[in-house]
Amino acid sequence: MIELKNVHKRFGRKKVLDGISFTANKSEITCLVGVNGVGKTTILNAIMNLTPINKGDITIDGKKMHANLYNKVAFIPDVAIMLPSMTVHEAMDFMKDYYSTWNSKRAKEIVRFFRLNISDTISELSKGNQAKVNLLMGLALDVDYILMDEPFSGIDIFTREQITDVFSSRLVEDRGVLITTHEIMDIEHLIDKVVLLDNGKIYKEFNAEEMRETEGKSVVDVMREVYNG
Amino acid sequence: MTVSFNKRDPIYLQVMHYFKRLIVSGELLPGEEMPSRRQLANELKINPNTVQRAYSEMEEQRLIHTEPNRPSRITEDPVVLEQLKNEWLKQAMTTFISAIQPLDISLNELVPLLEEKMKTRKKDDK
Amino acid sequence: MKKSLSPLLKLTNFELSRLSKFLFTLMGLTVLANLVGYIYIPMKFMDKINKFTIESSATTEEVLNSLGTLSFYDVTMSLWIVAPIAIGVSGLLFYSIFIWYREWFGKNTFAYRLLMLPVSRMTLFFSKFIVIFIGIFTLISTQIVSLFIGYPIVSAIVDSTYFSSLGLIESMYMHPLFLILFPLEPNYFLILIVGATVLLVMFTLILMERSFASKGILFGIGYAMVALAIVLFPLFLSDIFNNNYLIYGSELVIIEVVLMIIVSISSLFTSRYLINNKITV
Repeated sequence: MIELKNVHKRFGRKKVLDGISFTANKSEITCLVGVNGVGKTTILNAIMNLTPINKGDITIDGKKMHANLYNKVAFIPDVAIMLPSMTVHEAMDFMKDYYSTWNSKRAKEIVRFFRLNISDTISELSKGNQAKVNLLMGLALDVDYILMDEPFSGIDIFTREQITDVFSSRLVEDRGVLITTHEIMDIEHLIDKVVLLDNGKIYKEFNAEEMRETEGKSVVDVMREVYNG
Repeated sequence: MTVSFNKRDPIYLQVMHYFKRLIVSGELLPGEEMPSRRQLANELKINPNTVQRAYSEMEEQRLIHTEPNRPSRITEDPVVLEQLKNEWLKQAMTTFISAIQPLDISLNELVPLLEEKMKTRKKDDK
Repeated sequence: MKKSLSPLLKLTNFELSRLSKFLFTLMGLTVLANLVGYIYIPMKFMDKINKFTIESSATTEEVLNSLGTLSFYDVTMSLWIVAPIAIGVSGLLFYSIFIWYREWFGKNTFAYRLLMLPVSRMTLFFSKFIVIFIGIFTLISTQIVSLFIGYPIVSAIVDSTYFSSLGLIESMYMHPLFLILFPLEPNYFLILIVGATVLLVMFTLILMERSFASKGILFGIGYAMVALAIVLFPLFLSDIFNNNYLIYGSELVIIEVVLMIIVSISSLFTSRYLINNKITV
């Protein structure tokens, strides 16, 4: 379980996270939804210890983030993060060199799934294919948790479909997934838990299926109430 | 396999409904294998935990049964199947009755109309 | 097998391969410019000798009196040798900053990947540190090898009558730059310590900026000034107390070494704290 307790974060005088608490469980897909703002990305960065927080606690299965845990938690940001001069193949070799949890067999499977050409140089790939390379680097690790930042932003509809497929596929298996998005429509049926965020605060945290069962509301219905009300 | 789910009803109920339909229509035969949970989630593009929930409910209702480490199968129990068909019919009639509620129509008037409709449906099937 | 290689070795090797293009360029530039100097300067000198001899039909002795001899030292003091050294030093200085900033401001943000590697983050720090020193030593070796190639070239071009008897090694000892850069004297280790301390302070400054942005630059400048003050302080002791016999030279060296080691270690601890807790992608 990834747990955030009363997390505060300021950029200069601007409060970005103002007492955030929520959990993302294993074997569940948790979706951090926010209409705008930097908060969502900051939360993922903070979980990965890529940016300091001013107050609060973040733990992963009860432990603070440390070097070895990067073998157990993968983060897929929405910017390209491998060297542009690398080929896909070289990028995979790089990962294999450092991560004990790199799964070469699965990596090959993902390359096939996304129809990537491993001899392509990363800088020459389209935006969609760069996003796929990013996903490849995260999904091929045998991790317990996968964090994805805006996996659907700025990519074509076919790539989007492929990425959506990932969530219900063996590639995700029983891992805990935490994704951020502002476009929930496409994945409403895929997620377990929704955390609604705005202005650095959590407005509501609920299970999507329970919400449909007990209140007969879709995720978008709830969002409409929260953000318009 | 494509199913369009509505966004406001629990997905697991919609999945169950989908399978019940396949069973009463005979598209899924008694004893036939069910797709694996992962496979179904992937094909329907829904959350695997939701599929798991639907399967558990169907197991509880004895529509399917699962032996350890084997794929789930459709029940072969005639009582359960009969019950399912009755339930389905009851459900359909409830819907039908409530739909014609506003009309002032007697059973005698209704029966020939129903017969007519059934005939044309059979023709369409051929 | 690859897995058993220590992460530091792997990362250093990786950093080295990223440096290689730049380093080869600097090496090539050094060798090329040097070669031009080794050939052009003695040829120009011989030209002058020949012209003088013909124009004033002077004897060898008269020529020597008015034009003198050419030594290898003269050649090494020319821009053809000094300029590439200056370029090399400033190039590596630039690279010491670039080696960090390119991870954030490159076309892709590789900092994400590096900071998420399942290795201690100080490994990143040390790999970058080591690679700068590999660069420094490579350029120094290149320069030394180049001099060994250059000496016979110069002596072949210059008529032995006009070639100073000053040898290769003697020329090195006379050269103000080589005296600092080459391991000629036993106190070369002092220069290494100075270099390492400067680089560590610089890395700390960069990490401060990466952690606290513009505020970090102020911290960094403050830190660098304090470090500089600590190291320079003993050098002015005799002036302050107006007593030239307060500390002996050898004692001063020991004090300086200790102070630089203190500054280095505090820079390492500060850097470790920043890279582990404060850095932002």
